[in-house]
Amino acid sequence: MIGLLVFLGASVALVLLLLVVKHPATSEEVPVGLPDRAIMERILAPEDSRYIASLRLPRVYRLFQRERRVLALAWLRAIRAEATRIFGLHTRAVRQTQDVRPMMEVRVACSFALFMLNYAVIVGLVRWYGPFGAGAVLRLFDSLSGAMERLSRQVAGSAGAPAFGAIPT
Amino acid sequence: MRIFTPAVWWAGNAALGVLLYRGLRRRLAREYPVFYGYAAYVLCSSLVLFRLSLVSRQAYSVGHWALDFVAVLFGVGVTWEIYDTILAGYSGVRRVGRSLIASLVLILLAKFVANLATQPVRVLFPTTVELARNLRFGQAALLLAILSLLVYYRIPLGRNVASLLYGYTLFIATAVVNLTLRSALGSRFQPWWAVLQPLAYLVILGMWCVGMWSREANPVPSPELEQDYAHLSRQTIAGMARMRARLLNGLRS
Repeated sequence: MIGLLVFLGASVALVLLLLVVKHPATSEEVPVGLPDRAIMERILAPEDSRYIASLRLPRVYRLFQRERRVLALAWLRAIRAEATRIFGLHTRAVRQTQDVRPMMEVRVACSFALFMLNYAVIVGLVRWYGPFGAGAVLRLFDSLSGAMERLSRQVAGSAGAPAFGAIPT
Repeated sequence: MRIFTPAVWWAGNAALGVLLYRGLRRRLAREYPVFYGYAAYVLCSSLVLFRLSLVSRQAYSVGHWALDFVAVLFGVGVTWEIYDTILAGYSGVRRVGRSLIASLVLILLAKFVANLATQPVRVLFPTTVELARNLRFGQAALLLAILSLLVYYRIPLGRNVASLLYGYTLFIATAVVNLTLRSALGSRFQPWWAVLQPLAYLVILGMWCVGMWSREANPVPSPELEQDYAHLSRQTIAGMARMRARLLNGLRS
């Protein structure tokens, strides 16, 4: 069964790649620059949210949330466009380079894939929870990972040294 | 069905004839000798098979698989010709491509050896359908590697080589699907196989005829400024890290 899926999967992958290769992006990308972080700070400004919430008008609040989500997604897309442009510059430049190192190319590809993964997760969070909720989720992850780090340090600090000292020689 | 199969057969041979005629007339055969050799071989083997089908069913069956095996070897040559033509001006991509193809061959060999250890008799003596499927799968893997390089490095294609690539890739994809289903479902798939395989091949021949009708040079890569590769790669990786940080920190604020 797995063999069957591998053979059929290879055929599907071939056709999908053909669809992508059919329209190669040959046009030069225009540099757009990295969007300013201050813009996102303004989009997520808590005072705006507090003010709209204080009006106690649910329709207006929903409209506000929707607009901020659109703005946040546009800001994220601008970062993705810049990352794609930088990656495109790299691939175009190395096409004819004599001393290309395949392992270095793997590292570059992995760094781009990691960026795209982060982008997909964050866009998913923004779409699902909205920009304010997504920020809260990220801060929660931060505090959890910080707590885990502190805990692991404490465990290593308290258990590690005596355990080594207790080994009979 | 009685009319359909011979009609497809004659249409296929006519398309092959047109393809060869245009290739010789437009001197494309000099540029793609392996591909036109393959087309000539397929046309000749089709006529031989027609003669064999008049002798006996068994002679046709043996002849079909023997000729198909040689066609697969020709196919490897066509794949190599596509690779060689497309990446002619891209020394950097060729270098990555060599590593990629070498890794693929190693993986396929390792899989073969692993299978040999677990099921020696079955692997040593596969059925003709399984053998044909495995050989086509090897070509599919090579084409996957080539297509990945084209997509990753955004390499532009000329019309001739593009039609060759699209046609041959579709041919391999449909052949792998057909052979896999034929191997898995057995004789139940035979009626479908008899229709789908020649029909798919006829469509692909049509693509080749249109794409190879006249000569069109491949786009020559514009000379890029020579840059320090290691420095450029480090810059790209650092750029990606910066983008990632901006992405994450933007929402945390």
